Amino acid sequence: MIRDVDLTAHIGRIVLQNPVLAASGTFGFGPEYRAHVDMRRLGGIAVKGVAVDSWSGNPPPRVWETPSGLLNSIGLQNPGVRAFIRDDLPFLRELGTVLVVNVIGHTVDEYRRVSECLARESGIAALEVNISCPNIKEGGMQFGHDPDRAFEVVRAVVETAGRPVWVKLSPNTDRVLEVGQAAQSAGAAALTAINTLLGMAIDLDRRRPALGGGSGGLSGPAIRPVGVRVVYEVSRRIPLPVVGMGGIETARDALEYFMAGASAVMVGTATFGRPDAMTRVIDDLPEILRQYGFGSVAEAVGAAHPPAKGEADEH
Amino acid sequence: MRLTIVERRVPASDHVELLLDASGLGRRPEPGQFLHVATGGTLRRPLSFSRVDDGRVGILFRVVGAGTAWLAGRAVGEDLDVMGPLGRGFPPPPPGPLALVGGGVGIPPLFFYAQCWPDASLAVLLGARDREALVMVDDFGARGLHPALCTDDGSFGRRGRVTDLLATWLSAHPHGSVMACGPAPMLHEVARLTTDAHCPAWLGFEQRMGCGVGACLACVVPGAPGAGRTWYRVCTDGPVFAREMLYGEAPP
Ligand SMILES: Cc1cc2nc3c(=O)[nH]c(=O)nc-3n(C[C@H](O)[C@H](O)[C@H](O)COP(=O)(O)OP(=O)(O)OC[C@H]3O[C@@H](n4cnc5c(N)ncnc54)[C@H](O)[C@@H]3O)c2cc1C
Ligand SMILES: Cc1cc2nc3c(=O)[nH]c(=O)nc-3n(C[C@H](O)[C@H](O)[C@H](O)COP(=O)(O)O)c2cc1C
Ligand code: FES
Repeated sequence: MIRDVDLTAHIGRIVLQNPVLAASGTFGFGPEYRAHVDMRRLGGIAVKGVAVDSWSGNPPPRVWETPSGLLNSIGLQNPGVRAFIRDDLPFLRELGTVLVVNVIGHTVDEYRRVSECLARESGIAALEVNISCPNIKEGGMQFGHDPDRAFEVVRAVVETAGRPVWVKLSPNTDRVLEVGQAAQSAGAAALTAINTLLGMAIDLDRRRPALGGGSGGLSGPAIRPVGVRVVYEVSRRIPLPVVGMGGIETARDALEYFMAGASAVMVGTATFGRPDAMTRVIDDLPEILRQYGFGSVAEAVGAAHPPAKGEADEH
Repeated sequence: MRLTIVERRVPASDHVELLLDASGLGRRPEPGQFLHVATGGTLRRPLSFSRVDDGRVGILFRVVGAGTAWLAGRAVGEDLDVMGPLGRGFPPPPPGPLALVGGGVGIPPLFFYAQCWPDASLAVLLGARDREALVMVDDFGARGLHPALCTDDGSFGRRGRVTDLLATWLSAHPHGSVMACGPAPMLHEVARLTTDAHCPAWLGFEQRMGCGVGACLACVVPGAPGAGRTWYRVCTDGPVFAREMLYGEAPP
């Protein structure tokens, strides 16, 4: 007998029609992919990071292909939160897909002000705090590498958001668990992981770093094992739902993240190669889940975790 | 979308032109627009349309790396996974004489332009590093257009830069306009010459791309200082830009 597979995903009190969201920065501010992707089918959309004022980003080249991956140094170019509300939010609201707004800043106060501006707007399900931004008061060190700074930023956003706050973890620190715990104590409703890994490529012709920004963030299949590891550790130790990402291209990749402990996943770089990557993952998930013995996404979440003490191992 | 390769040509060493069955293409492309082509890697590769005829569209490329090498290895009958037509192309010919100025792999979109506007009074000025890279000369010739040619090494046509040919043309055609496509240093020089000559110009740029649809902000070129926009996206605001957008009113 073929059971219907339930793709519903729950991130705290947010219900997603399926567990596949567009990852921030790879899906623009909303309308760009509309001619190429059936956006209403997605579990949700995380738009590119928005700051309180516009950021101009880094000089080109801003992307560089690497083995099974991509280095980018976009530099968080964005038009600022007011322009986002004016130009992009109406389209996203009309679309009705679960909307997550990625929030960036150079100081705790900048994060807080973005959150305040967005608090007045309807149609946003959650904020995703990107703590991989340089903290200009601390010499450019990323907020996401220091549990205390991460706590301050997350608390400032939680106090003003009026909606669930997700916190996006950086893999570029050995303190990722502490940072996740700090986010939890500051009131985060979920963790998302991972952001890109710091990397660099050299342009042999120019004898210079290939990217205009010097170093950049590595994404794509090359980083999937890192993402799976972080999701596994964080979801075992911290009692918050986790949204997993990093190199997901297929439904099998998504299942790997579910088993590692993710309640939903985001797809980024894969969309550049195949704009239908997300809808293919969604289409293929029921079959893959069934094949590995799951009747729902929820059943698969954390399936790879060792059984808790006292619980019998079924296998 | 998938387009079938119906013909494969090798116009010069290291260059391949693939003609694709255009019936799967939603819209008729404009000259200057591009196809974003999957070539087996993480990212697609942007390639301009080189021609449209008999229900077929062409892409003509130089093999420079892994993606173009993969593409050069495709055979007739295979399908390509493409997105497009993408971007904004060249405008219709303005009144008066018009020069098409092409460098290297910037030449194909200009041939497509000449094909689209058979009645325009066109001068064609082409340059490349060497004879091999000077592509589509015969295609222009077959349309009765006889390009002025130059190569960096003098192996074909005049020795020199295509912008030297343009300077000569501009002094003879003070009310002319220019459509140009080629490497960035060539386009900077075209911008300078046409600004000085008070002639309008449209410039087709290349930049490394991610998405190709305006979402990732990878493919930017700087806007003219004080012109309102810090960056334009080559994939959606371009690849063809009116010169003023990037260079303002003063010579660069
Ligand atoms: C709008 C547009 C139209 C183009 N039209 C043509 C054309 O008609 N014929 C042609 O031969 N070439 C054209 N190019 C350049 C072409 O895209 C590159 O030569 C090609 O992407 C190289 O890929 P590769 O994998 O062989 O090289 P690699 O150097 O291995 O590529 C590595 C990465 O860099 C990118 N890249 C490398 N060179 C360029 C470049 N010059 N411009 C943009 N991205 C680059 C690639 O897309 C890839 O992501 C065009 C570029 C743009 C932006
Ligand atoms: C071009 C590009 C831009 C990105 N911009 C952002 C951003 O603005 N905010 C953010 O939190 N993450 C950003 N990211 C990170 C992605 O959301 C994601 O965490 C990462 O790319 C890993 O997933 P992937 O391998 O599926 O791409 C960006 C990634 C890429 C490739
Ligand atoms: S390539 Fe993504 S914005 Fe142009």
